[in-house]
Amino acid sequence: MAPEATQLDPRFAQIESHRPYLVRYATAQLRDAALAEEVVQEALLAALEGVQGFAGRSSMRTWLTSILRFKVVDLQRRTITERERRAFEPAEVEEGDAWLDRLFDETGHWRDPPQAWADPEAAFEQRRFWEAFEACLARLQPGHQRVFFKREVLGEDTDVICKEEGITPSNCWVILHRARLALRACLEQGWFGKEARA
Amino acid sequence: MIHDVNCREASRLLSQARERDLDAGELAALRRHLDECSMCRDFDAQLEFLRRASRRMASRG
Repeated sequence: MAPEATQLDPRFAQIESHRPYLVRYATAQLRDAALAEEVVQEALLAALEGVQGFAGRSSMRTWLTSILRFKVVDLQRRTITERERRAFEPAEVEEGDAWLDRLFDETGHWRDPPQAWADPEAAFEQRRFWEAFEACLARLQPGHQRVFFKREVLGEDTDVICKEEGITPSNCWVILHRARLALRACLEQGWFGKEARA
Repeated sequence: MIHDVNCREASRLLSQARERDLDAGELAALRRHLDECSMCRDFDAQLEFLRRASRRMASRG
């Protein structure tokens, strides 16, 4: 789109004037304000490029909405594919123990030592605890989350999990060790720790 | 009999003990470490809590 054309064609200003309506439309479809802004921007750019083809048979708003609807569907399809791809992402294990260096110092001591959690079972009765727990689970990488879920939530045996995931038992142990360390740190920060309670 | 373990090693053994039987040497070294280290005892209790919370989550649906 040449910049001088933008100034010449009055239809560009007209297109732009429909932006607030289009954002409301996309927000209603996507329930996500930032994504809606993004998809409207894409639709308006496409409209600017195609404005010569706008014959004026329908109202401009109808024409713009049909472009936007196409963009929304396209975005939804991309999002689903991305979600599916993440769900099936293989459970990967980093080579070596470097990740442990972030949690333990050179002498093998805790950098951020676990604290005693006071009366942890009481948390089970609180709805907000389960929200915190699920949020911590969600922060694990998808493959690790899946392995932890199978082992601890579903109670599957490690050798069954290994077979399903196509990993060795020792990789499975590393993943579980890592997931547990991450979860306990997350819960301590978000729920049990002195900071969380303060 | 394996050498003494530090917290890093102990955390690994405490996690693996939930998947496999530790051998006698590992168990002895882990017990010696836990006798001395309240942080790793707290960690062990937290692993047990994670398991109970996870099972509880399954039954909550």
